[in-house]
Amino acid sequence: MIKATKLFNKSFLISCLGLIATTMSISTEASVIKPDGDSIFVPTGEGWGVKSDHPLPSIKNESIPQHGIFYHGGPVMGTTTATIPNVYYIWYGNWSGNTAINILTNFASGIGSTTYYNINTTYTNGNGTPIIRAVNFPKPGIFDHYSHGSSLSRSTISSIVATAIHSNELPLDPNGVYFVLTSADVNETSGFCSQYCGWHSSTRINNTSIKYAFVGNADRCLRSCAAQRTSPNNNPGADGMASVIAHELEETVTDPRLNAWYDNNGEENADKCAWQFGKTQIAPNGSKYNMTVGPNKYLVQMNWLNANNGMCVNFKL
Amino acid sequence: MNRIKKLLCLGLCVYLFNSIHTGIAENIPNPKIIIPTVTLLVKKYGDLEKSLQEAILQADVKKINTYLSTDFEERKGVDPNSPIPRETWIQTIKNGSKINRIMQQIAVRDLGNILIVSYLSVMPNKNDENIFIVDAWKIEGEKSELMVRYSSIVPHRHPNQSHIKV
Repeated sequence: MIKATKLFNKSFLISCLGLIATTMSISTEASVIKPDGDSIFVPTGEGWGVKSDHPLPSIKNESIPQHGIFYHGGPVMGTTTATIPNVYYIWYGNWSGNTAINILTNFASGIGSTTYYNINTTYTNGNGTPIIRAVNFPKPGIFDHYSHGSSLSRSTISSIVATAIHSNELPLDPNGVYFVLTSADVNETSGFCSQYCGWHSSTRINNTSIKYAFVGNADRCLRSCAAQRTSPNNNPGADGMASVIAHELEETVTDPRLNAWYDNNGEENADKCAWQFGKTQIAPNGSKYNMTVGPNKYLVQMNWLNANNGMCVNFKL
Repeated sequence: MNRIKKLLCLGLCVYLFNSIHTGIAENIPNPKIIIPTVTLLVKKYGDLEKSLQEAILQADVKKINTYLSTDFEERKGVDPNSPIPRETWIQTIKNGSKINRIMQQIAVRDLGNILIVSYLSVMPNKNDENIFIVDAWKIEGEKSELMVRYSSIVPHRHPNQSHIKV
């Protein structure tokens, strides 16, 4: 009887230890991707987050100017030279022979030094330190040939970013803004073309806060996601995407975790000026443009200037 | 091993086992938390629908007439077999309530010269029922006319309600 009891005790102990070991290995494996715990969205219990009807109170601080848009305490990007945002492109699908690669690479390479991006310097962090007028584009975009098929759900986009990081094609960069740019034969089935042209979000990968965005190819729905059929670079899809990329970049930098800069309607800076282009000029092919970056002209929506009572502007000198 | 140690070990195992499920749930990314850039059509037709709603609130029949096609009708989910014809619809507006509902979750499906605009019409009091509206607009040149409206009541806290504010 004593022997049986000892045997039972030993078996029980081994079982417990085995369960503990299993638990730890699963937890470690499952820690690769995490949602960002700092989101202001409240859970609905339905698998969706919703921007709260009772948003965080804005921070009243004389060193933080707030003109028609308000600061809610969260982090922003790029207030020091060490945290200047790094834009990464993931060309998803088939981009072979598409001039979009040159058009949008040129755009990302040069946007940080534009007077357009300078609008972002009117936004600050919680200490009143303004965002720096700079964006890096550290490496050429990488290509992903349909690793997740040609019909993507919203959840797949973060997986595409995770795949690029885990395969070491792109670095794990807390200052990164990862853009998933889809070719015209790829659909994002959660509302691209019917509700939105792009979006930005954040997640956690390997315990690092990762900011990312989706921008779909406007060629799929020019009437929804491009301002004009004749475009400055003779590629209305790519030219349409340029404005959306600018939109998502502005908002990611000023509201990366969805708890920094937005107004009382929950609109972030670029939302307040969506599809407004201000003063434009005419390109040789008859299309409109309002920005020149390197050798290319672009038509890019205005952004909200957080100064002088607030307004949509094309640039800030 | 005495009983207390066994219970402690068992308790620890149960706690850790529960943490597996919690850990996995927390580690699944929630990519539905997004801030979208609305499409140009969502912006244009969202504004148009809001203008129509304002005209309804003000019972501005003259303005309402400019939005509706001559054969406009509304069919409601409670009685789809009984369309509400244009004149009856306008009369109802004159006599109806003037509660300013909020438009949310606008989507526009582009079918060429027909646009299908859908949205959730939300009452200010969250305990009231919402209405899901589907409008078919016909485009002729610069002009858009509302041809038909389909509407149905959405029970409060419907499980499939989406929550992107557009």
